[in-house]
Amino acid sequence: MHFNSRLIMAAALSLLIASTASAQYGNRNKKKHKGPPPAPQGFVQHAESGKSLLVPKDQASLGTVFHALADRDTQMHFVSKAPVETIEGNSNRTIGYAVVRADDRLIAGEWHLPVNSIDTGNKTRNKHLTKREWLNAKKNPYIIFKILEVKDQKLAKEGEGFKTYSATLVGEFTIHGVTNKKTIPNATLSFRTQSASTEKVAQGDLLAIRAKYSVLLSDYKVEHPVISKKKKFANEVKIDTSLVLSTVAPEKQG
Amino acid sequence: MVRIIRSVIVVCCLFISLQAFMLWTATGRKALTRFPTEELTQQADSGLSDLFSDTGLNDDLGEVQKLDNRFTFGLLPSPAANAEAVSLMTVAGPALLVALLAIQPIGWSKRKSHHKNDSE
Repeated sequence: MHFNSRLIMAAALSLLIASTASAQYGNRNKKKHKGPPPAPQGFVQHAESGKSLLVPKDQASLGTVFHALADRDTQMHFVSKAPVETIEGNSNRTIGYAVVRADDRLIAGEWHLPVNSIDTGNKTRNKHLTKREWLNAKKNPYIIFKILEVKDQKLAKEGEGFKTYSATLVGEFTIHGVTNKKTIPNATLSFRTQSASTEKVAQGDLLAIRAKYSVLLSDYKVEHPVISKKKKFANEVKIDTSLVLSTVAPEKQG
Repeated sequence: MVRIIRSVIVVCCLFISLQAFMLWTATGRKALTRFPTEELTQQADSGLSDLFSDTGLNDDLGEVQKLDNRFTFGLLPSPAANAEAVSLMTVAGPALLVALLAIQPIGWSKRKSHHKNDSE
């Protein structure tokens, strides 16, 4: 009798452990199948594939649409030079679009950079950046730049199959759920028409947008003791971006 | 015999600490330990930005900077239960502590126990 009750207890215990383990495994699988988080309200929504944005029809009708090609080259690199430490990071998962008129004038665009794609070279630090005290990726999953105006677009260089312009980009930057107006001078736009050599790497006519600028984290209410007291992370973050976009959407690239 | 064993312990611990220090210095004296990743290798090999090398895209701003994709042995441990927690401090720290305990006077522990017995 005594032996039987022990046996029943052991069986019940193993059942409990097995059910807990299977529930956890199930939850983990559920998390794995979850797609990228949707764009916040008031911004352009993501395509089902998660590789591009659904360009609003009123903007698409204004000119040629170029889609950002993610998961390839480095698109964004940042440097934080604090007295204690210099921290660098990058991402290549920016999705978005640019609308260009027939005369090569950039007239609209929006880009979304997933906060959880920022790689500083240290997995633990990457996780910290997504936490509530930092960029709060759960609540604000994307860093967003939306073009409002492009000023002083001037031809800088022209050659066989390409044209390069310098321009000033005026737009709205949204970081940590806070939106501020941002002017980026000395940006460079290069258009390259499709050719046998470009086709090997990417389909369609290509546009590259290059810009360097800096943002103050305090302007976006990112305030952490590591920035203000410990001086391990600078308030001013220098950002270097290089986006390559194509007239062929990422879903249709080979 | 005890002295020889203690000397060997001290020498070994100092060697471990020295090698950890050399590794930290050789890998760039970074704050945290990190390892190369496949994603960063792919970013470097894509060739997409090379298509614009002759267009003057980078004439004013220079090439876009890239994150170093290499191993660095950090000074401090990352607060995580993974390989990034290994650092100069976690390797050299315990080694120096053992060395410090090994160089304490031989009779110290005996004297302490005698003193305890006397007081009782």
